[in-house]
Amino acid sequence: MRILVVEDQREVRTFVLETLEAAGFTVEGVSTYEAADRRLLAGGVAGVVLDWMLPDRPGVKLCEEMRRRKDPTPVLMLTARGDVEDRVAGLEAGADDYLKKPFAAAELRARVRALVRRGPRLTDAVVRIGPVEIHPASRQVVSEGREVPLTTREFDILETLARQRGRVLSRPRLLLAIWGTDDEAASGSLEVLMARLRRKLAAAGAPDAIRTVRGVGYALRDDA
Amino acid sequence: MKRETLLGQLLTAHTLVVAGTCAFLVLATMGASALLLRQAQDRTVEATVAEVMNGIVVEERESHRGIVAAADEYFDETSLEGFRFELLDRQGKIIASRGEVADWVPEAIQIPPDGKARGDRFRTGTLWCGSDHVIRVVTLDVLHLAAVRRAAAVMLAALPLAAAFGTLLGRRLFRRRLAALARLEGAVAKTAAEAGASIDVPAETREIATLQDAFNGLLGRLGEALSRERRFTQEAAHELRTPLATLRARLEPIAAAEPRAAQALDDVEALDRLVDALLLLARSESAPLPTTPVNLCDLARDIAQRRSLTDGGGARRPEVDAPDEVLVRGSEDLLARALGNLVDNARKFGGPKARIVIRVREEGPRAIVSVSDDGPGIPAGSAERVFERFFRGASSRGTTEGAGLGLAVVRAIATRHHGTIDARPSELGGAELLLDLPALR
Repeated sequence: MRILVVEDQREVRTFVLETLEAAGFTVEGVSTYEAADRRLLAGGVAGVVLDWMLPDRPGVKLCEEMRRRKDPTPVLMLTARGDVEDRVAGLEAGADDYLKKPFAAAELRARVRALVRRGPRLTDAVVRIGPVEIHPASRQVVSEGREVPLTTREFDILETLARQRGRVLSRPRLLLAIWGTDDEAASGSLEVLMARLRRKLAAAGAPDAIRTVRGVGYALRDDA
Repeated sequence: MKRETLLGQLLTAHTLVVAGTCAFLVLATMGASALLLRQAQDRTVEATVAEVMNGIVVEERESHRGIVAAADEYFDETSLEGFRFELLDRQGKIIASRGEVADWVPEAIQIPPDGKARGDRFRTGTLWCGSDHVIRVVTLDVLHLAAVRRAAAVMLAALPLAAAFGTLLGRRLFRRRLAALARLEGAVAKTAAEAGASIDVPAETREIATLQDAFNGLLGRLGEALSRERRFTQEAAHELRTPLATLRARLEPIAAAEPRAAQALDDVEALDRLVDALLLLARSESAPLPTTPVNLCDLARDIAQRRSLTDGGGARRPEVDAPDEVLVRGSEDLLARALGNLVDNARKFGGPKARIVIRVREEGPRAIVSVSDDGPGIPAGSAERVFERFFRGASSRGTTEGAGLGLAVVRAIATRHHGTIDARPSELGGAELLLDLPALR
């Protein structure tokens, strides 16, 4: 799986490249917006690690540009800047995840793994399950005009299932897509989150939105 | 503090004015009417007594029979509804009379020099007729007439009705006019202080328009200040974190083999936390936050688990007492940081063996997280100061690591989530820190 790393700080770029290579990814590094844009147009990239500040243009603009031309490649933004507002801006620009500098190798590995496991990004179109609507752009779930209060993790699970609607996702696959790891602790959390998510969807009018396939995993019901 | 409402004040003032005006109008009308009626009656009484005297004098002159016989004759021929005519002698004894006035008890009178006497309920007129007799006419005081009394009663009864009507009408009108103020208030409350924000409600009156302009001016200045501040913190964040990222990138690959590099890596992490804390504190407390639902119970369980891993084998795992779900709206990162800081704080002062209990509960519209420990507690007098920046307890100074920003950061995060943080002695014997946030319903 090929990961494109767009980072102008040479040492950070090398660190990212080496970390991802050691984790089994094929990697490629560029340092400018221009180069990254050209490389993406050539195709064959499974995920992008994108720095927020590039010497020629802001990285977040590249993310916007990708989404504008319907490029669904998942993007992990790296940023040294500010705080939560930047995360919101990044997600609104079409990034899938966000990692604050300085970061540890383990964290980066987990995030990139989760990123590529999640599958192609949903378009901004609304996903419907009965009366329940999933709005990927604003990361909101709405039922009959009322917000269904899902936490970030609960939304991540629902969105990951929605990205490959109808297909059964195995437990390890879901764990990797959300936590970037499939260890014991995460597995316990998945049970709890899944139960809570189902309860909330049931209360919102979609009682059997998520199907359990015994011994295999979970799938989002496909009406269409 | 419970304040009076402007509407309430206006209504009270309006009610007083309406009631006062109505009372004044009614009383003035009644007073003036009484005065005019009485004057008219007095003139009638005066004219009547003069006419009676004339009649008697003419009768006497025609019949040559003396005044008493003339009066008898005249009284027989003449009567006036509601009037009583009397002829009295010098001692005030009635010699002849005609006509009845209810309740009039003729008694000896003192003849007043001006010819008029004011009785309790009667009006009288007297005139000397010759030198030995007095003619008196008596009538019921006009103000005691049943019709006049009824009219007065009607006016007095109309007073509260008019006042009530005016008050109710005013209440409706005031309420409708003040609704514009409520709309403006609603718009102001909903407007976030950020660049480009402005209020736009239909302003029907000049006051509302002026107020709105003033608010928009303030919002403009505020927005400018906020975006300046935001630019500054972002640039500062970039300048501070980029070298840390580079340093980390250099250290991490060699940390496994080189213990001094691993130590340096810990230092980088400590520095990173400090940068985070400073940037967080530098940010305005009114800065916008993501508004995703956050489950405080999951955060508490995550933190307990993570801390039991990072604190090492000897440390006691924090206990969690939480239901399945308590939701608030806000930033998961920041709330996790706040909870983490509270637990770190308890660990720092209680030591590795300290018992730490994280409790999450919902109390009506509040979501409350409390972190208690059985450590030494907060010294008396410092309960408020522990949330100050760079505050470190006297006993911990020089012994415990940290810059004294942990609880200040918690307070900043609490404030940005429209919540509060408080400290009090815990049931476990140490300190209990209470994070109180608006729950998501």
